Amino acid sequence: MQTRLKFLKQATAIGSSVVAAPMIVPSSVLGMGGAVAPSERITLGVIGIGNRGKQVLRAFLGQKGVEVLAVCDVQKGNREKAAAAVNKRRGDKNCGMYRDLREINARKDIDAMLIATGDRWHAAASVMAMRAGKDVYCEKPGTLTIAEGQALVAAEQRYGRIFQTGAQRASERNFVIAGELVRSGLLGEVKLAYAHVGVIPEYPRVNAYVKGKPEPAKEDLDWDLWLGAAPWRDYNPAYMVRNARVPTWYTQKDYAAGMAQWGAHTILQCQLDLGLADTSAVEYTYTDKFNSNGGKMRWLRGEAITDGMHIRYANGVEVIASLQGWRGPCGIRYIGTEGWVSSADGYDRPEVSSPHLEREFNRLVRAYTVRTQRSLDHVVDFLNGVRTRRSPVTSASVAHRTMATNLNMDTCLDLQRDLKWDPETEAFVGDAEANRLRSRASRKEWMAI
Amino acid sequence: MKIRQILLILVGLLISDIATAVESSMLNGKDLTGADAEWIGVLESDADVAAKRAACRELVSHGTAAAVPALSELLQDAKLSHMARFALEVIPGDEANAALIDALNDSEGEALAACIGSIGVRRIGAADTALLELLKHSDPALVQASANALGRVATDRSVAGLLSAWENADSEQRSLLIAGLLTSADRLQEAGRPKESYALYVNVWETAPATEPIRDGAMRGAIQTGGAQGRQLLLDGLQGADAAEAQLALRNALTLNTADTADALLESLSEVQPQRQVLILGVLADMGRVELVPALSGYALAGDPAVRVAAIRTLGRLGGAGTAALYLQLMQDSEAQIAQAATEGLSGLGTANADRVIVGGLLDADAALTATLVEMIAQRRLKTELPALQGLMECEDSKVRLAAIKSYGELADLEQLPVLLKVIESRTDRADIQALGKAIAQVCILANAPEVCLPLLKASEAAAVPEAKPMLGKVIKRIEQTG
Repeated sequence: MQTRLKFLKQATAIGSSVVAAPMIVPSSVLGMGGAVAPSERITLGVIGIGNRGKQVLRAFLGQKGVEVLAVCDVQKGNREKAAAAVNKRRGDKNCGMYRDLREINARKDIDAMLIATGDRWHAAASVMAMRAGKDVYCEKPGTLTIAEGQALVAAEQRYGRIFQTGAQRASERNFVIAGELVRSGLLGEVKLAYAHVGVIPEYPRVNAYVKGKPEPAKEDLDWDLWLGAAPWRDYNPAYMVRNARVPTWYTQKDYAAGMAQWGAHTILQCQLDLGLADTSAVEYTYTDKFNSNGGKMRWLRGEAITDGMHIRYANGVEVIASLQGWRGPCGIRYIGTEGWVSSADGYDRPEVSSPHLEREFNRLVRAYTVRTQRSLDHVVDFLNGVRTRRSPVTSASVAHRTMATNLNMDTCLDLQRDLKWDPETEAFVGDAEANRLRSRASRKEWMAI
Repeated sequence: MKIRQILLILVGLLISDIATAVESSMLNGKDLTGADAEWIGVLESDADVAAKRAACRELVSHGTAAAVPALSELLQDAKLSHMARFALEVIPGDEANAALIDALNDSEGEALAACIGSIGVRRIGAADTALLELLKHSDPALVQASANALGRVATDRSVAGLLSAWENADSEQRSLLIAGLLTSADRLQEAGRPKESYALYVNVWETAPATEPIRDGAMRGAIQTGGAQGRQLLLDGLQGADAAEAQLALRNALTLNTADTADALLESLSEVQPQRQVLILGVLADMGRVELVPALSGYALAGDPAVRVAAIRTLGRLGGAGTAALYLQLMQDSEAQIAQAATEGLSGLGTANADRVIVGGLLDADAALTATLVEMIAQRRLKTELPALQGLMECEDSKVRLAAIKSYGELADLEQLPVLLKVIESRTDRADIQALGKAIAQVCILANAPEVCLPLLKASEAAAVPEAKPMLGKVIKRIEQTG
C-alpha cells in the first residue's frame, strides 16, 4: 500500500493531466483582451528603491501600460541604479530622480506610487502620496501603530484613492484555494487557524544604539529623511544593513514591527479567508514562546504545530501565531470540522486532508475569479483598481485591521500580559498603559499623519 | 538580564562602533511599573542623552502629571525635544496640555512646528487663540502646521478663524490651509453638525485651486453631509465631462456605499458613455447591492458589447435568483464575447439554483451547449447527474460523448468503475478509448485500492474488443507501478 504522501502526489499528477486544465479561462477583467488603451496608461513613481523596492518594481515594469516616470530614495546609489534600470527599459534618459519624497509627490504627471521604503515610512509616505493625489501600492507592513492605520484608512477614503498593501499572497493561487476551501464550506466550520509569523525579534523588543559616525553629505545619504518620523539617533551605516550581527533597523523597535514581519502576510490571510477582514482579534494570550527561552523557527507539519501565541476573534475563531510553519515560510493552516488545508510559500497548491478536496481546486479558483473579478497577480489587481476605482483585495482597511492584530500581539508580548481589544473603539479594554502605545509622536510635524 | 541580551551587548563590545545604551521596558532588569519618580529623577539629573531618552520612553507608559514639568524642560532641547513629546502626547491631563501651549511661546522652527502638531494630536481646544495667531507667521511650514492643528482642535473659534484666513488667502496660502479646513469639516461632521460641515466642504470644493489634490477630499464629505445637494454633486461628478472627477465620484460612491450612492450610480448608467458605464457597473458589483439586479439585467441583454460583458460580470458578483437562467440564455448569444462571459459566469455561480439551471439546460441544448453544460456538471461535482452522464457517453455527437466520458471520470468513484470498464470494452473509436483510459486511471489512482481495481481491470482487458485492449493494458501497468 502506498503512503499517504505518495498517494497524494499520484493524485496530483493525475489531476494535472486530466482534471486540472480549466475549461473556461476568464478573460481580462477589463474586457479588453489584455490591450491597454492610451487613456488607461498608468504613470508610476517609486519611493524607496532598495532591495525589496527593486523586486516589486520589476513586477510593475513587466505590466502593459505602466510607465515609470521617476524614482525617489534618500540614498544616491539606490536612486541612480533604479533610474538607470528604468531608463534602460524605456530606452531614454528621462527617469526623474529625487531625494525627498515631497518633490516626487509634487509631480502632477504621476498617477500612482510604489512605496518600498523601510517600515517606519510606510504609513506616512502612503498618506502623503494619497494626499498628493496618487494611488498607492505600499510594501508590508502597512503600519507601525494603530494611529497610523487609522490615518491610512482615512486618507484612502477622504481622497478617493486606491491603496494596496504588499501582501501578495492574497492574490496567489496557492493561498486563494485555501481561502476558497474555507468560504465554500468544504472544510465545515473553521474555528482554528495557524499563522506562521517567521523570524521575529526577541520580546520585549529593544532599541540598541550604536556609536555615531559622521553623516554623509545629504545628497549621498539624507539621514534625517531616512529616520523619518522615528526618534533621532546618530548616523551609523550599521542600521542600514540587513542580516548583519549588529542592531539593524529590522530588529529595532523604533523602525519595525515584530510579529508582522510575516504576520503582515499570514494574519492578513487568516482574517481575509475567515471573514474577519473588517475587524481585529479581541483577546491576546501572553506566551513566553517568543522570548529568549522560546522556540526556534522550524518547519513542522499538521498537528505537530503546537507552540505559539493564541489570539481569539469575537466570533470565537482562534488563531495560533507560531514560529513553526507548514513546510515553508509564510504558511497558514485552517482546521475545519470536515477537513483541513495548509498553504505556504514554495508550493503551487495547498495540502489538504482529503484527495476529494484536491479535486475542487480548479472549480474554487474559477468561482473566486467570477465572484471577485480579481487577477491572481497582486500588482495587476492594484493596477486594475487604479483603472476601475474598485478596491484591491488588500485595501487600506484590510491592511489596518490585520496590522492592528499584529501590533496588538507585539504589545501583548512587550507588556508580558494578556490583553483584550475592542475593535469598535480600537482601544484596549481596561489597560491604560497599553492604550498609550497605540500612537507615537512624530519627530517632525510635516512627517506626521 | 536575559542571556541573549547579555550576548548582544558582549558582541557589541567586540564591535568598535557599538555603544552601551540599550532601552527596553526591562532596562537593567528593573521592574519599572509605577516608577514615575525614578524616571523624572533621570530627566532632572546630569544623566547623558541616552539615559534621558530611555526615561522619556518609560514615561510614555508610566508618566503622570508629575512628570510634565521635567518633560516640558526638554522641549527646547534639540536632542530631546522629540522624546519629551513622545511622553507628553500620551500623558493624560491638563498639565501636559498647558506645557505644550507654553511651548508655543518658547520654541521656534521645527521644534515649534512639532509642538503645534502635538497640540493637534491632543486636540487642545485652549490653544486655538495661539494657533490662530500663528497663521500670520512668515514661515509657511508653521502656518501649515497651525492650520492642521486648528483643524483637529475644531473649536468654534478655530473653525471661524481658519475660514476667515481662507477667505483672505491667495491660492498659494490656501494650499497651506486646505488640509486644516477639511479636517475642521470632518470634526464638525463627527460632532453631528452636518450643515456646518457641508458648508465647509462645499467652500473648499468650489474655491480651492483645481490643481490642489487635497481639494478632492471635499467631495466625499459634501456628498455625505449635503443631502439632496450632496447627491447632485455626486451625479455631476459621475456624469460630467471631467474624467478625473468622475473617477473620484465613483470611488466616493463605492466607499460610502449607501442606498443613495447606489441609486445615483444607477441613475447615471443611462446618462453616460459606454466606457464610463463599464466602470459604474464594476463599482456597483463591489457594493454588493442585490436589489439592483433587476435594473441591471437589461444592460446584459442588449447594447454596447463591452457594457454587456461588464453587466454580465456584475450580475454574477451580485447573485440573484434569475441570474443563472439569464446566463444560460446568453450562452447562446450570437456575440462570442457575450456567450463567453455568460459561460464564465454560470460556471462560477455557486448556487443550488445554478446547479438546477445547468442540469435543466441539458434537456433542450444543442450539441455544443450540451458539451459545455456537461463539463460544468463535473466542475461543480454534481454526482447526482452520473446517470445522465452515463447516458450521454452513448451520444452520437462525439463532442458530447467525449465531454461526458471526461466528466463521468472526474465524478466517478470506485463504485462507478465497472460502468466505465463496461463502456470501454466495446469501444472502437480511438478518441473514446483515449478518454476512457484516462478516466479509468484517474478513478483507480484516486481510489488508492489496487487490490480491488487490478482484478476488475484484468477481467475487462480480457473481455474487451481488440482496439481497447492496449489502453487497458497501459492502465493496468500504471496501477501496478503505483501500487
